Amino acid sequence: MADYHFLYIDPSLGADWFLVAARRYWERFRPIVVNGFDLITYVPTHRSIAITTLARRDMAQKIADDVKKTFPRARHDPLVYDFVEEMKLTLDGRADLEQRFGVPENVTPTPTRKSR
Amino acid sequence: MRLDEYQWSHNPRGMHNTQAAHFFDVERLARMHMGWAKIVAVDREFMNVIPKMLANNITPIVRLWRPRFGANGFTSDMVFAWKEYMSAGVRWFEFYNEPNLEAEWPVETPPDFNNVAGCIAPLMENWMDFAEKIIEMGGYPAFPALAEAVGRGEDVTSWLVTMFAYLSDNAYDRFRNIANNGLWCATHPYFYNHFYQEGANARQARSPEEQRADEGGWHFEYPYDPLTQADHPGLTAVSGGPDYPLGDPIGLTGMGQAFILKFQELFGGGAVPVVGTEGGITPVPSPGGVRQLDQRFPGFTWNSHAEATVALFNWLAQIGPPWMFGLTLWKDDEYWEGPSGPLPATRRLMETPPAFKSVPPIDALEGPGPHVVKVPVGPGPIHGSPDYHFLVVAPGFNTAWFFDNARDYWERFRPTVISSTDYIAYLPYAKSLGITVLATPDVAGFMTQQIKQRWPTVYFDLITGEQEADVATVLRERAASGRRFG
Repeated sequence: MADYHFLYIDPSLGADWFLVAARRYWERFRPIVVNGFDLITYVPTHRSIAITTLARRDMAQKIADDVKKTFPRARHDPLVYDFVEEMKLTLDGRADLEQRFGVPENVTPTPTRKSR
Repeated sequence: MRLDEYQWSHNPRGMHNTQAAHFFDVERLARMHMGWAKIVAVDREFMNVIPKMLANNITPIVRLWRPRFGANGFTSDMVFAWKEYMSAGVRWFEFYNEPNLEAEWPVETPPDFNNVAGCIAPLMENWMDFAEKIIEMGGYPAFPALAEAVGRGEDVTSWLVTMFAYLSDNAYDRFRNIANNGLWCATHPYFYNHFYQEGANARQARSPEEQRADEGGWHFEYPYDPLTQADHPGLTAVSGGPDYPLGDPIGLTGMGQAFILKFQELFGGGAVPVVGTEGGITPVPSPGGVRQLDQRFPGFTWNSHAEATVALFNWLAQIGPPWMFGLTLWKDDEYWEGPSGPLPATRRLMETPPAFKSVPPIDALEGPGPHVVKVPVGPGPIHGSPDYHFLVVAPGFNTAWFFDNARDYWERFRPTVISSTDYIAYLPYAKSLGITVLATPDVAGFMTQQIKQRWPTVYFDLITGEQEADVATVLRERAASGRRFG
């Protein structure tokens, strides 16, 4: 789990990609929903970042390249579907399974002793 | 100052006295192998027990009690008593007690974290005067213990956040100086049945009858324990999902964790000691009964309460976070003079040797802190229209009202949707920000205080309503008229 989790929805995608497809996902995990990458650049370097991107196939490669180039230290979680309904199925499944990135996460660890 | 430089017994076990001016039996404390004794005093009436406590490796903590003390400053008689206790060997002192509760304030000025000028500011200013006086005398001052109240003006997490925000905005260097010279945090962890001992695996709890203090598998780390995380993934002491937007600190170390997290975030800590100066596994049991306030965890019985009480102190010594130094159980008479006689915990503590805690050398401050760069934190003034537009769904706001009614608004304006205002601080001063807040009327004041007062250059735009239709109308009209902020 990263310190900051962004959900990138490309400006060319309609409101349904957020308000329908990602509704339950957002209600469960509350990522920061952005339409551009510039806000993400303000995260301090000592904080970790994860970026879930929603894209159709025609834009997926460019978005992936942009994320890799601009945020090489970020965990990129690309989701590529051409239709809102397909995206919703995947995101709802993640919400149901409590899997923010589509895979089981370790439970939040007990705070451990810090070393100097 | 480092965590390992504080002077104490290194034994997490502790007991709170029955009340001010009431006899405190040191020999009985010693038989229970206590390492801490919390003393609420009116004046110097406990001077005679301090040497006996220290001789038995029991570290005293002293708080002078004054009725409905509110945010008052210290007085000359208090200073005299502190000096006397200090000369007898006391180092650990508290000042305010549960300042988020009405019972601690004059009737005419009830506490409310929203009232920064009349409540938070005088409390923190007078507390810093106390802390500096104690440090000057060679002691350790406590950050006030907050009662674990939830909701409204007494809400514990909101109090902690607001107190820290005030210190960060108004006394950054002063507080860091206190932190680096003997600060500790007092908490009051009354944590009910928020613990368990593992059965076959980490997510299977033993029944109360099967619990044994001298066997492993105890979980006192709520809300970070496997059961809670399976139920609410990612829940922390200060943050969580829609059910717990401010987190859940009602665990043995929860409020300490909340304090340390905010201390690290806002002041560049490090760690300072945390001691629970009231609390325990509550309410205390009676023979034949089961206490199970939280149905997700096993209850506890007359006898299992004793096993768990011994286990919690062992856990603090051997497994708990390095900054959690102990807990003084509430309170001496409830353990010894209850309606059914002494609790079995008294016997189990007497027959079980204590575990001692090894403390690593962690600095109180780990670096210069986030304010070291003297540029304004957060966004700057707006010239024309803001560079960024955030839409904040406040804690407790029904998200369905947003998703069902914001289509045109979001489609047209595409605000950045966030749940926490922490991110605002990362925006550079060269950029400006407008924030639309969707909030229920009861948290509107809190959100205003959290955003408008902390970042006065941010354009603050509040949308609130008692009914879904109220919110829907505002969003629809704005989208139709092209007015992002109305």
